[in-house]
Amino acid sequence: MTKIKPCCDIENETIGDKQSNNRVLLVGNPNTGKSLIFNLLTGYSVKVANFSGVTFQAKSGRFIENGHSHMVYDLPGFYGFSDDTAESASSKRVIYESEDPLIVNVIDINHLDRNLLLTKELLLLNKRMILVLNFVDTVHYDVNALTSRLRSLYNIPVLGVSAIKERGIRGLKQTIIGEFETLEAHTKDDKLMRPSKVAERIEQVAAKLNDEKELRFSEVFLSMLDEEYLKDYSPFANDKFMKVEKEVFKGLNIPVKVKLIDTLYEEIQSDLSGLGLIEDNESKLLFLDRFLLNQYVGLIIFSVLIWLSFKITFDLGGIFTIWIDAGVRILGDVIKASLPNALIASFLVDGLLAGIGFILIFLPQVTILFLIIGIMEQSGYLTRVVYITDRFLTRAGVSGKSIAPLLLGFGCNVPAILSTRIIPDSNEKKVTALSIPFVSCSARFPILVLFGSMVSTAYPDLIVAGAYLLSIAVAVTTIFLLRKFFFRGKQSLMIMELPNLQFPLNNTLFNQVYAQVKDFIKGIGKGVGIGVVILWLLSITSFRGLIGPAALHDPILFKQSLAYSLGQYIQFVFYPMGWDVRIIVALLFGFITKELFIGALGILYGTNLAILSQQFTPVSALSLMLFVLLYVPCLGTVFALKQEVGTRWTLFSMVYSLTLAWVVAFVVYSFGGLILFG
Amino acid sequence: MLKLENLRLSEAKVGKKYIVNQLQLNESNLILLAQIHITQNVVIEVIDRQKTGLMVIQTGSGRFIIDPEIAKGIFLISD
Ligand SMILES: Nc1nc2c(ncn2[C@@H]2O[C@H](COP(=O)(O)OP(=O)(O)OP(=O)(O)O)[C@@H](O)[C@H]2O)c(=O)[nH]1
Ligand SMILES: [Mg+2]
Repeated sequence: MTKIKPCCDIENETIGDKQSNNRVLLVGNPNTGKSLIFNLLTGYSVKVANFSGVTFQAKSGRFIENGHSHMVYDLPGFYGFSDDTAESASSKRVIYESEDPLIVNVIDINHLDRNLLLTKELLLLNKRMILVLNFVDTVHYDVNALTSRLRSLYNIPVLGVSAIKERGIRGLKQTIIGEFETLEAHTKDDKLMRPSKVAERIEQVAAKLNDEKELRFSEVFLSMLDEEYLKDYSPFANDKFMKVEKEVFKGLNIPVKVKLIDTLYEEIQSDLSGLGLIEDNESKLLFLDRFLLNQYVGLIIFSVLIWLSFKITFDLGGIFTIWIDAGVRILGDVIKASLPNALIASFLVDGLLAGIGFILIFLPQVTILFLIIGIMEQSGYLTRVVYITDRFLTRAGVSGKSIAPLLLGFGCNVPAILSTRIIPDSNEKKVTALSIPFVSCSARFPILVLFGSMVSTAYPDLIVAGAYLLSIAVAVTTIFLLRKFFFRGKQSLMIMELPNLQFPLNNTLFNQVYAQVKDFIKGIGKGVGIGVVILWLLSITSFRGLIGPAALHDPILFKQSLAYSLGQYIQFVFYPMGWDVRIIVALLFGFITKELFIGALGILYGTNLAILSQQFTPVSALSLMLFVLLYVPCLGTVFALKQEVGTRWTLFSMVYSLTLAWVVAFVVYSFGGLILFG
Repeated sequence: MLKLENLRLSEAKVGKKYIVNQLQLNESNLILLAQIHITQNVVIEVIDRQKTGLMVIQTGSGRFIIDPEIAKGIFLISD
């Protein structure tokens, strides 16, 4: 049975579910639309983006149609069975270990020949299979000739689909159900699929290995392609196999694997010949690459885009913020006026509404941020950013492979840390994982917005953009230092597909943003809600018992509360910065999640932005903002780090980030006034 | 006019097209490239290159960001 973990996004899921043995595996090259099709089949919203390696971990979900239930697996993309990357290893494992699955091979019709390599290899596995030609919306020829050619050559169902336009999905569902109904479908003759030009030699290998019974051709072939298979799944002894292989392929001047791949490519050419396909069906937007990829112009464009993003976030988001802020306050007044019981009213208004409402105030900005990140991901621009920023990372000591996880960190650090698994070199992987907590995630964004406006009312967007730059600089410097002192070693080389540029404003984008916003709100409802309630309780009780809701509005009374004592214990640490005890309490709660930091401010200071602002000078606001930016992002990242780099390095990361945050805050507080404001 | 030239991918010029004649690299990189169909007779166009050497190349099977060190010792016929 498979040992893939059900994904965090997917609930109520057990692998090897008895109810349904109908297992559907979505397999294909990176960036071919597998995850989008997965979402369309299951109704989930796993991450879909226009760059390679978005899915780094198999995810499963149920697809139910007409009373039939199927388990669908979205597998990380890979190029072929000789691929020895981490993504491919996890996909291959699911394929090898699934009992009698239906393989849905999703391919990008724009890069047929390359995609068909994996198809050819899959066909040799002799399993039930459907071939999906995705991206039919982007080609201008009639795909019918192509689908019927491949159908007759490969003897499997072949469908043209446009996942993004949701065209052909219904047909795909029907075909999946149909395949499970025809039980004998998976016992196809593998003779059909043997690559003719090397078949004879492979048969020779088989014969030499065992002359008693005829071995499955596919098993021999897979053992040649994939070392992992040979080691763990093949019926042959490793050493003997290698010896026989060497003997049979004696005199070959290229590696056997390359010979096999070349042969398959030759066959693909002949499979496709005479169809008159326009192979080079590149997006019309590709001319933009001249500018986007240029090492000078590209960087300028990137900087302007980033600044513009923050500007839009502030100008547009700010309008909504004012409304929500007012709404929250009116709602609070109404509740207080209509509820006679002061304690219940305080629980609802000073606790829940203040804590949660104060985070919701920033929902417009966070939504715009998700939208902007989404546009960069869907358009294919993100991989251009990888290319133009590679030189900085190369100098710091890691390859471009590390950039995608770092960029993912701008959304949420937790999946970003987990995604470092795609980095093949273990030193580079650890270094990247350890630097991700400094990348400013979307949960820190409201904090930057809030304090950015206190630092400068005229240019809050520039302040926030600067904070982002700082977070990137700290992450890159961390990589550099760790590489230099702890994780030395040769830098790995990279090769990565540059996806087509496409117009990003489509359904997928809006669905993804919607799902993220929903997650954000759900997260507030669950974890943050509990934290908020606890803080409210701590604020209105003392060691001797209940003080009452008045403590939240009366600074003198508040001094008796448990929350105050809690903050007071560690206040000495922050003594030089002179922060109020309430800030320190909020920082403590912010250790759990950063949303809770904002929620805590809402409870302790009330949701009135103006009152909170009075507590700070521009310099003290800046020092606090940077502290929050740099210290441990949340408990989730601590667990993720522990899983990926071990306990020792996780502890290191916590100590390091806390120290760094403190030093930066201290320096800014002490000298910031001199530097910033003359 | 085609002529056989012995040059490394890192020496290839932006905007020019090259046909792969023979690749000389270690086995794992050779397999890596073979899988994405960068093998003999494939046409490679160099779209861009960075000062650090990183390149964007275009082949029949798409655009790739590639560290030319990976493809060290490529022998190409340039046109
Ligand atoms: N134009 C067009 N774009 C599509 C289609 N299907 C998917 N896309 C886009 O292609 C990109 C990749 O989609 P994903 O579903 O993330 O691809 P994937 O196969 O899961 O990729 P990996 O997880 O990296 O293996 C996204 O930007 C999609 O919006 C399609 O039929 N037409
Ligand atoms: Mg995916």
